[in-house]
Amino acid sequence: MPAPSILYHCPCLSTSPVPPPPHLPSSSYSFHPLHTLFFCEECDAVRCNRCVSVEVSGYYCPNCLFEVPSASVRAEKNRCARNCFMCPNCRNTLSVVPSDPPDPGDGRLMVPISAVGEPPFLLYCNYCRWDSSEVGMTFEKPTGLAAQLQKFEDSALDSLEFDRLKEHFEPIIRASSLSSSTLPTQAAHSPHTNPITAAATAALARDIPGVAKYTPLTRSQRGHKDKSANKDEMPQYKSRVDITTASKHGTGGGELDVEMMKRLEDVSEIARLEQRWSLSWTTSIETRDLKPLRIPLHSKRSKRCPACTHILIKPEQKAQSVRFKIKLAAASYLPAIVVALPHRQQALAVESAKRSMVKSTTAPPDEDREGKCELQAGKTYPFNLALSNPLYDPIQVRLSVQRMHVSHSEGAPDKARRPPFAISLPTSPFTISAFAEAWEYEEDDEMFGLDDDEVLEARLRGEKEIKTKPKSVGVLEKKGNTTVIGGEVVIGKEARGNVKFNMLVSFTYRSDDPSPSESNDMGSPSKAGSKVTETKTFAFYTVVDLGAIIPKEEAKYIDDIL
Amino acid sequence: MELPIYYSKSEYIETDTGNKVSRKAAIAGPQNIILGGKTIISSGAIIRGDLRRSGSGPAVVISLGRYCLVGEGCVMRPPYKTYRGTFNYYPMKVGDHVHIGANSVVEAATIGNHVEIGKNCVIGKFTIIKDCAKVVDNTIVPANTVIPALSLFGGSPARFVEDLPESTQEIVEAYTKQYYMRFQPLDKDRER
Amino acid sequence: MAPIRDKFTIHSKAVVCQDVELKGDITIGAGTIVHPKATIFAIAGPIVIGSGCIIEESAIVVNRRKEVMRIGDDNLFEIGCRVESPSIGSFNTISVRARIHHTVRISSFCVIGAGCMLIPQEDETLDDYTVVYGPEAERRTWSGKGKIQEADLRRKHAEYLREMLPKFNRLRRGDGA
Repeated sequence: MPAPSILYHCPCLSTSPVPPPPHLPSSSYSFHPLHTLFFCEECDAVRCNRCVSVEVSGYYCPNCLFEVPSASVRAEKNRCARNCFMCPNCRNTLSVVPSDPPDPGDGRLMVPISAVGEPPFLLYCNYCRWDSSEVGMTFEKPTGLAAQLQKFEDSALDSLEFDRLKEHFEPIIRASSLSSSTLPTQAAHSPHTNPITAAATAALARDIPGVAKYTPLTRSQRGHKDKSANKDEMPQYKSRVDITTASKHGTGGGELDVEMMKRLEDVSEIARLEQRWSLSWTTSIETRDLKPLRIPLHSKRSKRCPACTHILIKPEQKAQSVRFKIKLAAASYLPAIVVALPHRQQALAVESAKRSMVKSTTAPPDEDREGKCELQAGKTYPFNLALSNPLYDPIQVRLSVQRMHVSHSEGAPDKARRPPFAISLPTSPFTISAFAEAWEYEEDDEMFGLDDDEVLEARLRGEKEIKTKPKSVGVLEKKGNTTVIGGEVVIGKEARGNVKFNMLVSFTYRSDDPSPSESNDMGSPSKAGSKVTETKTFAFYTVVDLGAIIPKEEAKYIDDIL
Repeated sequence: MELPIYYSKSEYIETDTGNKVSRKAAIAGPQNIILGGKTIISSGAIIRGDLRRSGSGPAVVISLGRYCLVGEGCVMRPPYKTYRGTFNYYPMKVGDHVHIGANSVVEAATIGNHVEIGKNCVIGKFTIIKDCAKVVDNTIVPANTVIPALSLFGGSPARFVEDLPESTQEIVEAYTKQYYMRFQPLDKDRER
Repeated sequence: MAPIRDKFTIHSKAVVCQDVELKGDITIGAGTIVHPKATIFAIAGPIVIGSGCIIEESAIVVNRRKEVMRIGDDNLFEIGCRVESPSIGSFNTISVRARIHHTVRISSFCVIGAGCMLIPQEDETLDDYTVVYGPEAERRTWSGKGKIQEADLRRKHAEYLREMLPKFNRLRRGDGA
């Protein structure tokens, strides 16, 4: 059974900060684990990987880890210019090896003469033992392979064709960029900042009658028939090689393939799709014609907030450095929350103790343990939330559970109103101490959250030490910069599915004399009216998943077999 | 909130720098092995410190950093090759905060800091793993591979899957430190 | 079932470490090296290992058939592999965690890649220079390029181990249990 988890909500530029209720399957798109989120200080908002705008800060080769300056990236067509190649068979990196020394022929194995190795040198894959002599690529020197291959690559069919295409389009691009600069309104109205895509859109609108209604180009612009006509009318492009006869030159396709298939003996002679599809040109489909590929470059990215373009992540200059010049991770602003179910923890602790005594290295999950961990319908379970404060000032946190409007598609209408489980959490605010190296230890204080009208059971215990049996709803423990809150979930008898609920966490920070925030609603963050002016409140939504509910019949079954 | 991970007290030797080495681990040539401190070597692990470079003087064959974990049944041995006609074993250097899963075979040349290697992995000879990388369970990494920083590798042969989030370093550091703290001895006569 | 009689014939030039589990009728040729924690079980029939072989840690060589299991010269059994093939030629490499069933016969200069499971349903003989790789045990034929260098590496490896291992590990000698 998966452990209980908590995910944080990122509004992702949607209009309402309230997340969708968790029983809808589509709600999972907006919830993320905390360590993948960023926090923008200017907008005071959470950002996730989907809403940030990304730009490249540097390129490097994943094989030789060489940093490629961005100027030469385009020249080298996004590939590593040094000796990095990929095996066409298994996609492993190839290594340069010398050939064998000449065999004396009498069966004795000869010791290699030279220390560096004999030419000609080959590219060799140590995973599948493919080597480049199978396609006829050998080298005279072990270094500078790219230079030695340059001749062949430049005269390859696809690069010649590509160069011709570039020459054909270049005057058109220049002309359209000039025209777009003289007509600023045109660029402003259309969402296309790239004149090429704008030209393509106009061409599409001209060719297909109905599409024009949906393009953002306004009537007046389409009235500039002469201008757009100029943009759209390009000279006809004639390819260098007629594609119907191109197969003679080794591009594959056509009659040659049919001939080859007739002579085919083994299916593995045909190259697999994944070996061929990333090539830019059709090539022969035989496996033995596959050439080694150059390794594509990887990029280091820096990320910006989409609203205010403040930099959130800026990596360091060195390619393999893991540090960042700027790193605004959400984990350094928002409290980290860990959810746990104490009864499950107990069962797991017992299991691990038993396992260490028996000393088995592979302990299969126990049926016994599973039964104890599941949430059974009709019972009440306590759960813990441990909140850790990352800031250097103490914060005041307030939790509230978002009311779910559960509506079942089938079933009686009165059942539709009742949610399958009820959560009780302390509603009054509690403090979490600041993050510090030498932490201070405070004894816990109990607070009972009984003013929630959804509570079906309330248990009062006067215990101060809650280490083994947390029974109350409230603050359980305060240790260092972590506060453990106890809550309770009462699962209805007819409940199904997962215990998943949205929880609003609002916290007040940067104040020495906090006054509890007066807001009672579950909506937007509010500025607390307090004595100290630097108090700020921030609220975010989370979804807490405690696990799946075992219906009552199954629960009884498990109890029976135990 | 943390579950302690128990081990039988008699099974592990604890050194003064906080290393916890299982007696059931087969360590050959312990004088050539350096443990950084607070490192755990689980039972059944095989560490070959005896395959050293030819040549005189003290040799460090395998060095591990701090807060490392070598899982159960792992095999760690240095890589070898013939360079300019002479055969030799090369030292293996492992950084801090490295967790190696159970039953993995590691013959890498260098492993950086904050690396997480899964279970049943095979890391080929002369692999270079940079900082904060992660190798998924059951991966086979062929020899001479380079795993760049902050990348997730998986499959057989290992391929680049995706980039890891930027805060990976803190997460792995916190996890390894917490793991060491949770790794506590269990006295035999203590009740369940 | 008859009890397994241990009968080890270990050549004087072979290096077999103390920690190796041997069972049954085993013959080990000259210059072969068996690392600690390897396992050689001749349960139903004898095993004959040639010269210059290297059997690494956690390697398992098992013979569950009555016939003799013959292993040739200069083979490399890497860490964690499991071999039950009744006949193996020379200069093969069985990589880490590979598994070979008893239905396969291996010739010479073959390479069984890391993690491969060679478990065909019927009896089969691998030709010379076969390379098995990938999780689905795809095969291809090696052109043989570089085999001299590899053989040279193997020889040097064995030589090196023959010198180094006795310095650090205790050796098992001779015949009998």
